[in-house]
Amino acid sequence: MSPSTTASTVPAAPVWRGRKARAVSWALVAVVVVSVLAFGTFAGRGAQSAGERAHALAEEIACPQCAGESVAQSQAPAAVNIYGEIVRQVDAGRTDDEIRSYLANQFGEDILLRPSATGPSALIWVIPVVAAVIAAAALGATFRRWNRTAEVTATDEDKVLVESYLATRHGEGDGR
Amino acid sequence: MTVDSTSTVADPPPPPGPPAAPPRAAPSHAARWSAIAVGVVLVGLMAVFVAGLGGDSDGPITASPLDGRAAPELAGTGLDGGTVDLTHYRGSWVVVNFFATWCPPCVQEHPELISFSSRHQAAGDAVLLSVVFNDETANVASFFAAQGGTWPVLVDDDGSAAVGWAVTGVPESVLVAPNGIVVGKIKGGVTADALDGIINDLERQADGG
Repeated sequence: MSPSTTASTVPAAPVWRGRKARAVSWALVAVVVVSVLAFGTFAGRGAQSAGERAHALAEEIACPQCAGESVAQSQAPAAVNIYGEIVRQVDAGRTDDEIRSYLANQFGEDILLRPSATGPSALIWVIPVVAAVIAAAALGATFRRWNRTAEVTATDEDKVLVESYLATRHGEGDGR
Repeated sequence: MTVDSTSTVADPPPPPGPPAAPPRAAPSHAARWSAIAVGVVLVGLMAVFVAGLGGDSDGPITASPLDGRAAPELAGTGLDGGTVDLTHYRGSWVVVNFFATWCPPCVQEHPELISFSSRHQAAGDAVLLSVVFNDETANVASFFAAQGGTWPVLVDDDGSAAVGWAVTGVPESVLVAPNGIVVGKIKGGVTADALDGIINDLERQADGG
């Protein structure tokens, strides 16, 4: 079947229908993205035993005696001591934030593998978000500019100019 | 061979001519300002990074988050079964020395600690307080019996003192001023002369010298 046949037999979908379908697609994409992010963020945060909580916290604390290892991974004496302290504080009913802030207070913020969202460390969280917002805004502005360019239409005056120019060109060609 | 028609357009006919290209929009300054903003941010970040690198140590003393703060609590059972409590030594300089018998630099610095302790024993102006770091009490008792040393030794069975004092390895010595404020940490082995030198310097600074 030729394209022209198709074009003549299939009625064009109304514009609003296309827009609606596109909006639904975007909404579906948004739902999927939000669901995946929410699942990744909150999965496994349900009821944890004290041991699981301590281990999860130990994974967020850097071993101060070794490079690139968390307290949960390392068997270095300093890491073993910190792990023990986390277990004691969990058993004593301290919250995760209290335990993190105690360790950061003693050893310095560098011991937190996941930097805190306050103070200068917050820049680590803020900068990517600001960069993403700026990038999205720049992208949006660019798309708008492109659309504006596409909307330019030729006026009657433009058409007359073009036709007269083409006529001149044709005349030159004939005279050659 | 064909000749490009544009080469013949030298003669005058052109009245209408091709439509003039639309005038380019006035150049926006957005790009320039964006570049300047990005540059300023980068310079700022580099300044923060460089500032973070510098000023980390002053001689053998290492910067520690505990500096300038009241000494963390340090009390418990001593090697001899008695009570050891840092607050009992308020009014004297205290060298809180974390050590283990399995640590060669700790064994190596022990004679220096004996020397430091002896120098100040009579005056009582500076005392040593050792804390056992991840070691068996029996090993430490044998070690002191064999090597000497009569200063108080705190048993830190659960490692909580080491965490409270932010110990990252041994030997580590934390210097506590007579007013109970932490003034510095020395990572690695120490000598009696180095300890005295640090204390003298700090006293001179305190006196405004």
